[in-house]
Amino acid sequence: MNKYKKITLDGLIFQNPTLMLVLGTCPTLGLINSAMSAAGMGLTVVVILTLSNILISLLRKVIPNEVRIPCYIVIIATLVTFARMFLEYFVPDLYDSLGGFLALIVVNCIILGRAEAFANKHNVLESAVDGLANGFGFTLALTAMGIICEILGKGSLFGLHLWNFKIGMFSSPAGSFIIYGLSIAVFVYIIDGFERSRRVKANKLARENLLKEEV
Amino acid sequence: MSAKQFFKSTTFKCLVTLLCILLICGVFLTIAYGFLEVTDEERLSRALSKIYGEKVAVDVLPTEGYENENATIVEAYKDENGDYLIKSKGKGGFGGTVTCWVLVDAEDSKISKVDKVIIETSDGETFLGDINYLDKFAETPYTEGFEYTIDNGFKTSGASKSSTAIDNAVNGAVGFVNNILKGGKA
Repeated sequence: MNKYKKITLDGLIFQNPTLMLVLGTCPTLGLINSAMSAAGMGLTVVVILTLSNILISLLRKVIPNEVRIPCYIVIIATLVTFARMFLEYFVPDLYDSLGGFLALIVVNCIILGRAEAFANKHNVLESAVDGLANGFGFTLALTAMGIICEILGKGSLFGLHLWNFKIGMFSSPAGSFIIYGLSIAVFVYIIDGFERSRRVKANKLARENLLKEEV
Repeated sequence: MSAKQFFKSTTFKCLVTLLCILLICGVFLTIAYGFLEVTDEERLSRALSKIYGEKVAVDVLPTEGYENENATIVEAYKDENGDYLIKSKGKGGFGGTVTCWVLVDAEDSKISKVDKVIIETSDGETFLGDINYLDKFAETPYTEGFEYTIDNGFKTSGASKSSTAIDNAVNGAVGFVNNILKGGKA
């Protein structure tokens, strides 16, 4: 398999940071009560994650191993501060809706995790693809859960009123927690089923090849 | 360790790398701040267009640190219609304060109603919940001495504490305007 395709599929599906690795839980629980905030947070993370992966990959031979974590944190914090300034200047409504969670991206496990596990060991292009894939994996998961929570909790979708039926709990972190747990269960079940059928196919093929060789 | 050994050591390399990255990041952010700074005037004009939906001229009123046990008045303005726009910080939230813009309508030197309430920030506030009942302030008639306690639908939660801070901010703003209308110092 093409290595870029593998990196992309891992980030989006098989190693999805939110639903498979359960990383970035704090913004997930705090923001999925609104689809718009969830999508906004996700897209901000895409930009920061991609840029941090590119910068860390570029500097990986310059930064000594002993101070790599402080250096990564400084780079990530700089990008997050810049993102905050940019959003406050150009998209103040989104800046207000993300609130404190925007600053908390600095300590988001996904960003530091990808820097340490991937960008540190791969070239710039691979790191950029990994950043984009993981970022969009995070964004899609957050937005999907945000849509469910907003429909159930507010009876609306991306702020557009749908109906009057709503269950208040799904507008709170408690409801978000339930939706998050159920989403993980469903996603893991689907991926598990897919992996199992792939393994069965591979075994069948191997057995057929073995039989052919014996004949 | 001699000076020569120190300059060749990993410690020195680590220090230099870290300091260089800090310096470059600091310079980058300083330049970015120069371009993307949001001034207080800009914040005010954004708040005004959010509240009024159009550009409105306002006069600044001195607040002189007006404060009661539940609220602090941060900024105060009188608009061209003679109404008062107050930025009030309400205490008693869920681990913090909630700062609101409160538009108070005044007629014949008396408050007629609280026209609009908009949340600006929630410093240290960890749970604002889903605050979607702010229109109730405008729907509640005001009579002299009345104190707003809006039912938010959450009786015992962090959101009820948030709403206490919002009530306090609104009541603080109303008290401040009453003080001005009765001839007290703004």
